[in-house]
Amino acid sequence: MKGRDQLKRGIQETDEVVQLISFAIGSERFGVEILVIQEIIMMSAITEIPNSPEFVEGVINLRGNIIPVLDLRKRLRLRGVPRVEGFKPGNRILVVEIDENVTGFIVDSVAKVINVSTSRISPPPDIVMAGVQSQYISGVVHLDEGILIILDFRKILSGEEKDALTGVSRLTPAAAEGVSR
Amino acid sequence: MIDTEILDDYSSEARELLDEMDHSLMRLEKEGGVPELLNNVFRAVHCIKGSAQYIGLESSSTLTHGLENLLDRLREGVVRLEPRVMEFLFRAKDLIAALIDEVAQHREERSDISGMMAELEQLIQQTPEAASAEPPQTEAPPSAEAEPEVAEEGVPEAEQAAAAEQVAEIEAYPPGVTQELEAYSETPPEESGAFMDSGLDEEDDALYASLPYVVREYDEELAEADEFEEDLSEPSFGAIVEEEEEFLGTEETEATQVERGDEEPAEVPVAAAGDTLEATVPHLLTISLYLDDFQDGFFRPSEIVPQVLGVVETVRLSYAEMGMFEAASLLEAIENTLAAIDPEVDALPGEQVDELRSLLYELRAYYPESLFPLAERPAEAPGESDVLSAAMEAAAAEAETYLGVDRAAEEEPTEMVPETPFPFPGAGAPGPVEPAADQGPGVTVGVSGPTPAVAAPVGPSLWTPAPGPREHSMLADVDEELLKEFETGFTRGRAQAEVAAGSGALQFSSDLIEAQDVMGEGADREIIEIFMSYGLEILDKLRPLVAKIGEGEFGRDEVDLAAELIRSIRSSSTYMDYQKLASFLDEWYEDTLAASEQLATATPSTFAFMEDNSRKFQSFLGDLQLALSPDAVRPAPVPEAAFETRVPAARQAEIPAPPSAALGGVMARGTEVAEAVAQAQAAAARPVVGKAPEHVPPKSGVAPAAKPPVREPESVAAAAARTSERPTAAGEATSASAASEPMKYADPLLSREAGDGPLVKTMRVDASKVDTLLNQVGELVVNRSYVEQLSLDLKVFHRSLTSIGGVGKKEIQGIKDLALKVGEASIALGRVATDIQEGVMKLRMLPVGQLFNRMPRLIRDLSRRVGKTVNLEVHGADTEVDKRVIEQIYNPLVHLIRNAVDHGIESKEARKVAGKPEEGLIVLRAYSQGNLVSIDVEDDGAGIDTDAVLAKALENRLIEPQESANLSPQEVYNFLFIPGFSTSKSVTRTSGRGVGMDVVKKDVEKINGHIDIESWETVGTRISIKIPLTLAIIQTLLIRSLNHVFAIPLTSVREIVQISPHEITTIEGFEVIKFREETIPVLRINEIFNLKQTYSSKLPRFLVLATAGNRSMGFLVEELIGEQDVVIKPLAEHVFKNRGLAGSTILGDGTIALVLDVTELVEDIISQQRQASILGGTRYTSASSERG
Repeated sequence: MKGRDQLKRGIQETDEVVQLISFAIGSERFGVEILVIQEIIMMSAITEIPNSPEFVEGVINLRGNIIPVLDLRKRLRLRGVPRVEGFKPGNRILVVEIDENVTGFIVDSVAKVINVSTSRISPPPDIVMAGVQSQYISGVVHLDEGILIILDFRKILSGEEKDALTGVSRLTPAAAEGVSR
Repeated sequence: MIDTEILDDYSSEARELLDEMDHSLMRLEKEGGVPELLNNVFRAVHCIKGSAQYIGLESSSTLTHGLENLLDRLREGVVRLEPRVMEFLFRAKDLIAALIDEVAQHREERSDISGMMAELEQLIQQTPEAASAEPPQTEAPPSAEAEPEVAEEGVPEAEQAAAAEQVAEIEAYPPGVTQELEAYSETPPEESGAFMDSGLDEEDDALYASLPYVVREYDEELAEADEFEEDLSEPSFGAIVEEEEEFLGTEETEATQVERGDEEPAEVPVAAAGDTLEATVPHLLTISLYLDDFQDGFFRPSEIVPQVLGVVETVRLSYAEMGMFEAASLLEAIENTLAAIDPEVDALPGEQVDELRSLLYELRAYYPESLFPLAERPAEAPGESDVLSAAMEAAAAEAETYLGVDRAAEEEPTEMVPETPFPFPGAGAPGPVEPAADQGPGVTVGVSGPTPAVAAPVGPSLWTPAPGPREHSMLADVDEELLKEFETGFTRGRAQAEVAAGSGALQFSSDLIEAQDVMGEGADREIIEIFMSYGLEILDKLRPLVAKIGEGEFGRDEVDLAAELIRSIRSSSTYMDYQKLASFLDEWYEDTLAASEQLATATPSTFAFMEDNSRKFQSFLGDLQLALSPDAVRPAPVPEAAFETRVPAARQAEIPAPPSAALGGVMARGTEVAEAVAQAQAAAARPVVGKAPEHVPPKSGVAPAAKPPVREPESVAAAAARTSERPTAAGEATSASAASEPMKYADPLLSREAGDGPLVKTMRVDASKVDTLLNQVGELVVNRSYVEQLSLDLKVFHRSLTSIGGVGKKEIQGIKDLALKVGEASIALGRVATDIQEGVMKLRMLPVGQLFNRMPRLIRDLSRRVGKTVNLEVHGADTEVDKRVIEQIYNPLVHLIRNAVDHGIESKEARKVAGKPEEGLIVLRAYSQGNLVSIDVEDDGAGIDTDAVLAKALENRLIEPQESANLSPQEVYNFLFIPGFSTSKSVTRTSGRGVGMDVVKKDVEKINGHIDIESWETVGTRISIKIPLTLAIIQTLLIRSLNHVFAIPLTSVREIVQISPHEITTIEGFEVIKFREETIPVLRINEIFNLKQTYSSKLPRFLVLATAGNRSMGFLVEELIGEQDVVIKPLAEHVFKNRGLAGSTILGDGTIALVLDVTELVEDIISQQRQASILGGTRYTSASSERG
């Protein structure tokens, strides 16, 4: 939240420097504001959750906390990026914390942290970029190596994804409260 | 804004109190007006009132206050405990509960209480004769009302505790007058013109809202005046008489004090109570009061017994003199009982007190009715009222003498000190304590006007009331040390205050005294401390501002900030009920605002008042701190004396008196009294203080209250004469109690510091904190099994090393040792982890009694509605279950009880016919059974009519006729759980048997419990709810289906059977299995959960039969892993919205298992099958395609 606001402000007004984590899915390079990332972990055993949307891989045990893991590639429905079946050793899970919800996103690889002056970040284009709908993009940076798409994980987690889930279950799981805890 | 935490505390505490109240009300209804029960109710109401007022919840505090009044009337017997009163009390309790719920939910009170209040008024005033010829000043308001400040601070029992109040006496002297005055000092503008700008501040909700309350209280006063006649004719020794005793006591105190002004100490027989029956009356009252003390348990019996014995002895002697030997023998019986009391006991058992009381009551037979008048009261009443009016006047006299001192102090402050010995007569002053033979002069003088001659000598007595109000509560021995401590405390306060003599700060001294009161109770010292530190904080912020403003460097910001600060501390003082301080601050705030508006034209002198006021406030805080801890160094001494010159005269008028510093609040109050009297007696007495007239509005209730002295001057003399007959014992008591008071005053504080008092054994902790802790403990348990796993791994490693060879023996031995040690460590860790787990679990456990306590009321209401009488028995209320179980089980339990009352228990006629007692019986029973807690609801009704159930089942085509003959009763009962199933011919408002039983079952299963029904026709029904002890950790059966591990809650596992695949058949496209004549649907977990199919060579070998409701399902399982306790963690809700999963859990090896929600699964399957059967032949394909 805070990071994002800062980012927004940065884009609009001043010439501050933001730190982005750059990662790759297929051949595309993406960036995310460093403050929303809680940690980056290696792939670990994922427990499949039945009846979940396709992009939900399952849950992992992160030091005693059970967190859901989403495949970012599937989530963004990246077109033109060749699908790779199964995960590779280089794959990483970005653990993102938004509104106290901790969620993991599987990416192909994580490159590095880059410092970008906010003036170099341009607003998201109206068109679909690299197969990513513009609503998920908070900005674009032109680097020497190419275009870096800055993703808005809050939007990625909310909105459409909820619609996708309502199709899966017709009722809300009140019973989950019943037995849990 | 009020802290939400405080509100939460308040609401949970209040709910507990309400439960208590409910309980007592139920008993009251059954057992009649037992004083003890009334006291319980009163206590609960009072505590709620205290908190509500502190927080500033207007409706709650008004309502509870009104209830207190009603309860007081009930205790006195003025109002009878009729059914409609009972009904009202119940409804009032419900309304309070509603208000509390509103506060908890919306942070404000929404319900309208006006209807309730109107009804309350009506109840309180329901007296046969309304108007009275009696002078209203003789009214005896219940002390809870007379001492609102005290009561509001949360003193448990205002009535009895009054003994411990410092100023209580001052207030109680002429309750009529003082109270009126108090009312006026808080009276809204329409009542008191002079208070126009001090009482009302539209912006301050708290204060503003309190106005109606005050007005209402005032109205009540008038109402009470009307009632008084009734009060007097009250035949019992109840609270009224107690009040009267206070008057009498007052009189005696007066006597002592006035006596000191008189030069001739009189000779009065010490031992005899007098030779008339009348004269013994006060003694009986005293004894009665002592009995109250016994009951209160404020004092150890050993402390009171000697006192009582003394009084009893006195009375007995005078009986003997009068030849009333029977009465004397009764007293002897009392004496004997008293003497037999073990001095070591901490409190007297209630029965013993009751016994004593009944003995005392018997004595009444020996008195002519005129002394305890009933109907023909007028015959004797004048005498009584004489006494009272004399007391009144005595009080007035005293008040005026205070004034005298006051003026003396103002004129010659330095002389006052040496002339006035230390205020405790019993301690240092060699005050003559024998009562005067002739008190007439003193009293009369007092009435006719202040007499300077009396003034100075009375000085010492001024403090008497402060430390010890009531004679009967004396203590036998006086702690010298303590006394000294207080002596220094007060003298220091005095000295300092005197330095600031004339300072306006003393306007608050009555507040201060009230604060001391409260501390004397030891009740809310903490609150006062908080208030004080807040005050000091505000002051710290204020001071630089004031300085700035004073130097002319003010801007709007500064002034506004100052105003804001003043306002915030004003709100706090309103909560603390420091009325005077609040009105002072209020005014200050208004002035600041006004000044800030004309900022442009302002000069430093415009803000001159700021400096004054802040100094006054500072001085108040100083006094408060001093009062709080006498030894503490006064934080901010204010030596300057030139305050009041700048305070506008108009304001001085509002603040009743600018009394001298030393005698602070006592005098302030006294002055008020004096003023009131002076005002009322317009002709007789000249205005004592110039400002008095405009202080008391002409239309005031004080006037009638104080008029009688003028009207019947001769009664004064008569009263005086009567007073003089009063024996000395009381006089001595006065001094003794005065001396011993300080000890009592300090007692609570002392014991608190020493830590040997009754310490609070429980503490309130946010449930979420416990849950967090529990979660962590769950982690610990998991980690522990990980360590165990590691130690096993180490052993395996050691073995493989050994078998490989090529490793040195030494190294292998080293690894072996290490493996052993790790193993030991993991066991030790396991032990501790288990203990912690159990401990934390226990934190969440609450006695099921909390739940049961709410039921009596329910049963009462229900049984009334259906016209039955039903008794309730509760067993095992202290059985502990998880907090969440208690929350979840409430509704099912209510439902079962409703069923029992409505359908289980027959009508009275039917019961008679069946030869049962007319009253039905419901038994609530809780007990532990291994890991389960069973909660049974039993009734002794007609039992379940299995034939009727069967008939209904057949009618609804739930079974085939040929099957019905073979059904066991248990199977028949199971029909009751089918939604919509009811055998009841008429569905009543309460319930229809069977309707909702499915809900009950579902609710119970939600917390992994289950329900058993047992029933015997014509004998009764027992329904048992069996629930797990705790919900945080559940026992599960771990199974493996393909490569997934699932956990099935063990409570829903019926049995596990080994099967071979060919046993599974298909009916209408659904897989089923025939099992013991039952056809059970079979589910494959991978199918229902749409799991990714991985090839598995294993064939399902086991069928886990799970039950949900009365349905069974079989899960086909390839592998059973075993039983395991797991901590359930919810699945991330922002991603998963799955049906059929209760959550997930981490197993010992760190992998994740999913916990099935069997109930949901079964529901889904049933609905699928239903859909399928609607769709006809295509169902299977559709179902399977649905599964994808």
